[in-house]
Amino acid sequence: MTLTNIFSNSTNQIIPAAGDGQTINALDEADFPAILLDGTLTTQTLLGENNQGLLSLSEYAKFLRDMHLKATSPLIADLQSGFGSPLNTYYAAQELERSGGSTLLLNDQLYPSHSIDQPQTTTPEDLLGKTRAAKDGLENPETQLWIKLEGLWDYGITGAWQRISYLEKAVPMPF
Amino acid sequence: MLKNDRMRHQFKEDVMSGNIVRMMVAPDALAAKIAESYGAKAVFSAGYATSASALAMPDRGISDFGIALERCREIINAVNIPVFADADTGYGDLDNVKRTVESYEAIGASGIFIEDQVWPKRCGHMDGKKIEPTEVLEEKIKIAKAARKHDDFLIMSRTDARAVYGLNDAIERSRRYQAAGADLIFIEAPQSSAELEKIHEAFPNTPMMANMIEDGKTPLTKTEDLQRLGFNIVVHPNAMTYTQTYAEEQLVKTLQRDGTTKAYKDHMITFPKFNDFVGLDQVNARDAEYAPEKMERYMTE
Repeated sequence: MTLTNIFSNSTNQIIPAAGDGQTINALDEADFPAILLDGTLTTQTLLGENNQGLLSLSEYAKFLRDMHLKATSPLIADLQSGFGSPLNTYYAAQELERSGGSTLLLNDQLYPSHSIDQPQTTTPEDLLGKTRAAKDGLENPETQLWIKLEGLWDYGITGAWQRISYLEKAVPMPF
Repeated sequence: MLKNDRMRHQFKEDVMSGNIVRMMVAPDALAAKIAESYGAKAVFSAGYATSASALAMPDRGISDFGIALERCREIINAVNIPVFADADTGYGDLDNVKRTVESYEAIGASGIFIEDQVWPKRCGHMDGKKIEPTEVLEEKIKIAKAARKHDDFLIMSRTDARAVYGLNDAIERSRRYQAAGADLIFIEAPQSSAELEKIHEAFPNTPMMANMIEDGKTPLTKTEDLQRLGFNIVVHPNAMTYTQTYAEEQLVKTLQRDGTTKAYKDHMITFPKFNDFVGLDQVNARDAEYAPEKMERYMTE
């Protein structure tokens, strides 16, 4: 069942974020449709840093696998900005899916992603390439890809709608 | 069917078919890809090779669960054939065994074996092994069976008792491991063809594994002869490790002697052939597929 399906059957529409095992255990016992294994929170746990861009894909994916063994709730994996180019995004999506992400969350920041209020965003072309690459990297048709647009401060609501319209043309999928 | 499910199912079918499955142990992903490209139907990820490749250390229980699991995962991700895994003693007590099973199944292994040595263990063909009471592995097998999510994820018992208590004890232990739920049986280090035959006679209807180590305790036996003896799996655990080591020794000697690798070049794959083998063209093609100019077609209002 996809996370979108789970949402439509759930009265609780809140997805909490976590970055450590104890919090995930606690959230797993509550009635949430999913838990986001947040890149920033995981970076704080594993590295003692606030900058998610310091956390490599392999470090994050290892932690995701450990949490996936524990959690019964679906886990949303933080694909960040794809950990590099669209090519990196393809392999990162593969890695996070097989590490237990039932949904992957891709943002439109420049690589490396930063945990700040006004991050630099990438071009629409790069976002489209990464989105298509991530989708191509997925094996299970039930794994979803969600896009997080982080440049409202820069490109405004008009720019956000423009990116959404491009994405709808590039990747026929529910967002 | 997803890859992990497909590989597990295929391995179980092959092992239960009555034919013999021959596996090289792959020290790393590249070795596994080489085995696959030359027709291997499955590969094995095992302790001796992983310990050597990851740590340059002997198989003496220094390489741990995390190292072994990650190496096995790299191998699984690099190939499209089943990968069976050596899980040593299960890496601790029953809680560890449960985590070991859950983890290997989650990364897509087709099954694991768990053995009855005292930790830190030794390669089965080394001297000085110590063996746990039979009850220890019996309980581990029961936990392993309960922990697995799919019946296709096969649990093999391995006993090292032959070297310590003799073949009859090893057979008796294996009967108890089978009764505890082991799908497959492995009696390590029999010392003659007659012993291989006796093992099969003790378990005529159970898939059995034979282990062919160069300079080990068991006589090197052809795959077809092992099949005639009733074995369903044969593993070659050290051959790739020894071959890599030998080739690299010769290379380094050449370089030290000549100051260049030129005289050894005939023993190497070439730059273009290697790039072709690891799929450079495919990676470049994928990179080009998402180029900015190709994305412009979606950017119309």
